[in-house]
Amino acid sequence: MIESPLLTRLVASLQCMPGIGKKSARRIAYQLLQSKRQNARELATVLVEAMDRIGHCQSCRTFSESELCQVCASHKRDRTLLCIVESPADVYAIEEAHYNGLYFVLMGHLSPLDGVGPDELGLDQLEQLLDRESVEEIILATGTTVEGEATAHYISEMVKKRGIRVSRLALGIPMGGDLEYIDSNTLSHALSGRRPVE
Amino acid sequence: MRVKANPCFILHNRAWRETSMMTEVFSRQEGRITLVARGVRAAKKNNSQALLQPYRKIMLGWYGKGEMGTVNSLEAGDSEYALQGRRLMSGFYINELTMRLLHRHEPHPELFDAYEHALAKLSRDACEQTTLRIYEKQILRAVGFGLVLDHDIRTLDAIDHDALYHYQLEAGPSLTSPDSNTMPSVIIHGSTLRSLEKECFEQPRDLAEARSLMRSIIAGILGPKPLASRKLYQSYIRCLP
Ligand SMILES: [Zn+2]
Repeated sequence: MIESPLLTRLVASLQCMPGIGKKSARRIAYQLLQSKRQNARELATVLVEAMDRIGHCQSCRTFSESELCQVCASHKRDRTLLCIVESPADVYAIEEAHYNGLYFVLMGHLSPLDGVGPDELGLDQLEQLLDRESVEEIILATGTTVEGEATAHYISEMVKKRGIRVSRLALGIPMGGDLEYIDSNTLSHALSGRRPVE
Repeated sequence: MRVKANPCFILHNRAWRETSMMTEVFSRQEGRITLVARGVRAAKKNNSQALLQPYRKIMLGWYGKGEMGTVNSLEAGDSEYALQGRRLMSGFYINELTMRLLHRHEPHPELFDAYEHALAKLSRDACEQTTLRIYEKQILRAVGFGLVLDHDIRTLDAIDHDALYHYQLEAGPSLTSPDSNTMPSVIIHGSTLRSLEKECFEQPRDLAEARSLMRSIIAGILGPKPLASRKLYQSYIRCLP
């Protein structure tokens, strides 16, 4: 079948989205052209703007378009509590579980074979955050995978000299589970049932 | 090609597409292989993802030809080794070593058992360093770089416990130093060679020597790309209080 070159490009580009294969991409492209041109233009503008302007919070590394994200800039958060997570999606999940402290986002976990070490996780930035804030407790909410466990252990050793209480999310999270796929109720339990790391 | 369920360990996982995983597997029957586990990262299959974790024996079956197969059966095996704390870092190391040294599709059932034995020891109180040295010795033997530990390669005399040897990395130990600078060697005590042979270290000095011997030999085989897990281990040691 002969398709306009631009349409082919559109279909190919749409496939960069998670869960979108060639078939769905084509369906989306045709539908946008047929009846949703205005929405699609809007989408295009927002996409460009978001990709250009959303960077990382200078304090916690989560996605943010300002220097400090809303959590870090807020006066209503409990700044003695710091929750360390692997991804911005985890921040979203933990917010849903009514957490009110600060965050630090690693953007991954220790995985030497993928070239991810302490530098890539911004652990020096984490040290700076701890120098700046008066954190009394750290909650390690990295995944329950082997890499997540190793990351939690590494950080707990790293902050030991500061005498900060360190706990680990426990109850309710299935082994090998990714935080973003867990419902907020389970996560709520996990938060309240956290245990100290020895 | 179809491979029936057989005992396997996961060496390394990588996210693949949106919900799948590409996994490096050490199979008792087939050796080191790469498999795709489809859909295991989707929410309702969290249990499969939990099974596909390193240090856990699983029964894996797969199909497919060429380099990469697709998992079609997955069940828990009879053992799971909970590595804790710093031993998780050692676990990364033996997994990386296994991935780097084994060729794909080369069965090593004996080494598989040695690997499991090493995990079992790392999950208990056994000496971490001794466990690593023994596994290194076993994997080197499996891939054709077995060490000479019982005799002088020049004189063929038995190793003298108290003597100092030049261990030529590609040949073995000798009392006399190698002819030229072109043959890299490490100087170690006879007792270190004996300890490695018996797989039992009586003094810390021997264990430290064995470590530098193994490091040099493995570096020689692996070439310029260093082991990433070693680098992680080093920065970990530095951050310890
Ligand atoms: Zn922030």
